[in-house]
Amino acid sequence: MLLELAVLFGTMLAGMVLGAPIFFAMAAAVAAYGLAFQPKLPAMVVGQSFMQGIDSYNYAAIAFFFLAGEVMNAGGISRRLLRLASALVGHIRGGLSHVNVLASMVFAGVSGSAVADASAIGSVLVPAMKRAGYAPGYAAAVTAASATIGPVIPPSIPLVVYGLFAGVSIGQLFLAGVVPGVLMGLFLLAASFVVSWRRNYPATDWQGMGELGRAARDAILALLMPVIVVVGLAGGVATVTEVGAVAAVYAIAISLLVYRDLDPKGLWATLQRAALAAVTVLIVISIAGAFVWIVANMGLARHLAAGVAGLSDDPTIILAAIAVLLLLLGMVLEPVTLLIVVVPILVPTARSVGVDLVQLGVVAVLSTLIGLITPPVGFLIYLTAAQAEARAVAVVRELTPFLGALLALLACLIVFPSWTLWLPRLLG
Amino acid sequence: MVARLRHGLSRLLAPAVGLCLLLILALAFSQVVLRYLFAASILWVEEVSVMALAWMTWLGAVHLWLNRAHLTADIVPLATWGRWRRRLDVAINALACAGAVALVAVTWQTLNAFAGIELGALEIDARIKYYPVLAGACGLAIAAALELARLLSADPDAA
Repeated sequence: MLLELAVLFGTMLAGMVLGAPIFFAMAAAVAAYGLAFQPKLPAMVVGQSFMQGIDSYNYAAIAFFFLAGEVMNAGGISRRLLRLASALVGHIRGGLSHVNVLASMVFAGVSGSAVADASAIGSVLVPAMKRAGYAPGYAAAVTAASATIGPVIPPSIPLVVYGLFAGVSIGQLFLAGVVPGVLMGLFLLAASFVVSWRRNYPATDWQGMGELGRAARDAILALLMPVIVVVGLAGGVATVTEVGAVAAVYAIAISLLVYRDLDPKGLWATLQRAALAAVTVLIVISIAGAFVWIVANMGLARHLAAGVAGLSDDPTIILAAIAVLLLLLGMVLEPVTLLIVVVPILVPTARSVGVDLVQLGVVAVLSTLIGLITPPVGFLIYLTAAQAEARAVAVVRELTPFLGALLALLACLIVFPSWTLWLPRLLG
Repeated sequence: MVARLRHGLSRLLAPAVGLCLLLILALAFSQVVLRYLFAASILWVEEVSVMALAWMTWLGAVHLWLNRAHLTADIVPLATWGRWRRRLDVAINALACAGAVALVAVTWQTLNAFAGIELGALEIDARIKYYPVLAGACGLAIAAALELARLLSADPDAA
């Protein structure tokens, strides 16, 4: 089995490291495995599983959540959320830094993607922070770190992928993401406050309760979106695809009819952009059909579960080990790909020692998201560095306190399951 | 010529992918309205939606390849430039072209194995389900070949 693993994962990792698209690296790994171990992988299985990988109505939800986020962004919602965040915390020292974190927390409720969050918030706030005297590397770092909140607060594309691959209720996962998502915001705000205080970063004037009220009224329709998603799923009233469709139609309706920042032509362009953004994930899921088939037939999950059971039967230790593994792999792999490849292997192991699969979902997603802000691959580092015209090394250095805050929270979520499971148990 | 072909194919695929998403959204929202307001549902919605999703995925994959917009890890390419970067791209596109051709053959074989079988609610030939993979594989072979042609005709020292 070791040789089979080496061929499969070795080819995939080599392809990725050399810069091949991730879906192609996975397909190449399947092809290499098929050629090396001929009778084990019939050619027909490959053809079938590339289709079966996405042969589920639930995957439409991923496209819908991408669409809702894109429409909200194109419809001027990021501007409204920034105004609200600015009215709330702009007057505290390092105001724009806190606005960045708070706006990301609020934006997380309309978008399930960290990249969408960093693009929307960063494109407005990074130049503003630089003009106000913040170090470019710091402006990029706070944007990158706070963008990781997006996929934890519902709706969340990684949580949908985890739920579908692990066979866990997405409604429960979305509920479980609420408290950790809010805590991520608070931990990052604390780090932002400490750094801003030390460096004496500026604050804006308090704009008064009137401005706060007007900003809240202007953003209220967008703020209702996460409520629709959570209520729809938590009550068991609707499926994740139905909730996704309602969220997308709701986003289109308020952007076209209420905010009127988006016209039909803009909507059509946004629709195409959202579809293509969703394809970046869906094509990986499609190819993963064959990949997962091979891993399942190797019996890797069974062997791993047996091996781990011999090491420890403490769920906290196993969960911590899984988090460390995902943190390390997250340094080179993109979160959704990592979840697709690793979840089918890890879930039986976790289940065998009594780890709650909902808690595992949130811990796994947060661990993989931290990879977005760690070198060498950390996609958000390069995205925000480009926005701030800063060197990636400077961004990595400035990320240290935020990384520390997120790792501290991750440790807390592992040690205290109630932080994650309280809300699903209360409402589920 | 190569640039025109790439641009033309790209312009054709983006609206097709957008239309697929629009169709899936329209079907899913209609189903919600029917289910919760009229206690009714259409049986074939899920099957048609899954097929539209497959078309969107595989046609979109071709578009993303043409525009170099797929998810990548990019560790080695970030540290290489000029000739070496170009050689890496040439190798990836040559492999992709060959791989996509192999996928066409494999999917064709799979497709024929489903001859005479009908899909559940739609009661149509089950082979239709595999057409998106077949079309996508053909498209990827063309996209990789076009990219290869562009790379081979470009200045060897260009990054």
